[in-house]
Amino acid sequence: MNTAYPHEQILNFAVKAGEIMLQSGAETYRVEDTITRILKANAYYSVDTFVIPTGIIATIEDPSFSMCTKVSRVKNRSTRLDRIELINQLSRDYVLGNIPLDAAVKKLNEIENISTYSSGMVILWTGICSAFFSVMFKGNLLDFFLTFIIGVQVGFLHHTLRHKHIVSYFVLFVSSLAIGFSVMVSYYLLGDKMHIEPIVIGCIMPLLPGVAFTNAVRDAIGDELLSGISRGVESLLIAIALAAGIGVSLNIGFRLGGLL
Amino acid sequence: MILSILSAFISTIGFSILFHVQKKHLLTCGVVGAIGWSIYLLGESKGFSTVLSTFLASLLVTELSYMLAKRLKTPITVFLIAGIIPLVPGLALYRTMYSLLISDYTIALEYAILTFEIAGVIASAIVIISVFPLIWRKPTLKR
Repeated sequence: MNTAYPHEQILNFAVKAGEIMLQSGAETYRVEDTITRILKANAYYSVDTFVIPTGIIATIEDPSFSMCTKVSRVKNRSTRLDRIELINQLSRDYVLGNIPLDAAVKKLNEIENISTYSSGMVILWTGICSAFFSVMFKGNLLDFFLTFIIGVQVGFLHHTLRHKHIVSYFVLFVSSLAIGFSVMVSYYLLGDKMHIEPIVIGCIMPLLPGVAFTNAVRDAIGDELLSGISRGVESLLIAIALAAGIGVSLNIGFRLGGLL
Repeated sequence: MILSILSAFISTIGFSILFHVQKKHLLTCGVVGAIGWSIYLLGESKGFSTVLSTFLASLLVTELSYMLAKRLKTPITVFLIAGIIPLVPGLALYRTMYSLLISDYTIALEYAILTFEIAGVIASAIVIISVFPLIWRKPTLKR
C-alpha cells in the first residue's frame, strides 16, 4: 500500500510488525510494547494501542494531522519464534534510529517470508523429538524406534492439516486420534514387547499446549487480563482435544482387541 | 539417568526446531531443557514429590531464561518454552485419560488433580521469578 503521508506509513509499519509478531505467537504485551515503542520514537502527541490475541488497534494523535487509527484482524496463528526475535531486533534498531523507515519496511517484508527450517526438516525433527521424549519416560529401544515412526507420521499429518486452515483443536484431535490408532496397530503386531505409555506420551508431547500455557502465564503477569484468560482457556481446550483423541482411539482399540 | 538427561537435551532441541527457533540458539535451548529435566530427576531421586520437583525445576529454568534473554538480547519465550517443555504434565494427562478409559474414576481424579497441580506450579514458578524482582524496582509515575 502506497500512502503519501509519513505518519500513515509509520502506522502501517508498526501495525504490520505487530501483526506478524501476533501471528508468530508472541505474547500480547510484547506486541503492544513493540508497536508503542515504534510509534513513540516519532514523538507524537499521544499513542495508544490495544492488542488482543486476534486483533490490533493502534491510534496516533498529533496536531499536524489530528488523528489516525488502524485496525487489524489477525488470523492463522502459529508459532514462529525466529520471526518474533527478528522483529524484536528490527524494532530496537528502528527506535534507536539505526535504520530508516523504508529499509525497515523492506526488512519487515523479508522477515515475513523467512523460513528457517524446511517443512521436511520440521517433520523429521517431530519424530526425533517424540522418540527422545519416549526415552525420558522410560521407554526401551523398540519404543524409541516405534515412537520415531509414529512421530514422523503425526508430524506429517499435523503439518499438512495445519496448512488447510482448519480450526486448530480439530487438527490436534485428528493428530491424537492417529497416534492412538497407530499405537494400537503396533500393539497388535508386537504385543507386550512394547510399552504403550512412553510411546503415547512421546508422541503427544510436541502437541501439548506448552507455548499457549507459557504465553498465558506471561500475559497474565504483563497485566493483560483478556489475553491471559483467553490463552489459558486455549491451552485447556488443546489439552482436552488431545486427551479426547487419545481416549477415543485407545478405547476403540481396546474394545476391538478385547484387552479389557 | 544420564541417558534421560541426554534425551531431554535432544528432544528440547527438536522441539525448538518445531517452533523455528533461530539456529544460533538451538544449543542453548537444549542446555536449558536438560538442566530443567535434571533438576526434576534430582528432586525425584531425593524423594521429593513430582509437584515439588517440577516447581524447583521451573524456578531454575525461568531464572536461567531471564539471564540468557538479558545477555543475548532475545525474547525470553525462546528459552522459557524450551525449558518448560519437558516439565509439561504429559504423563499425568495421559494417565488421567487412561484411568478414565478403564473406568477407574478415583485414580482418574487423582491424576487430573496432579495435572492441574503441575500446571499451576509451573505457572507460579514463572510468576515468582518474574514478579519478585519488581519489588525492588524504583517506583515510577509513568509507565
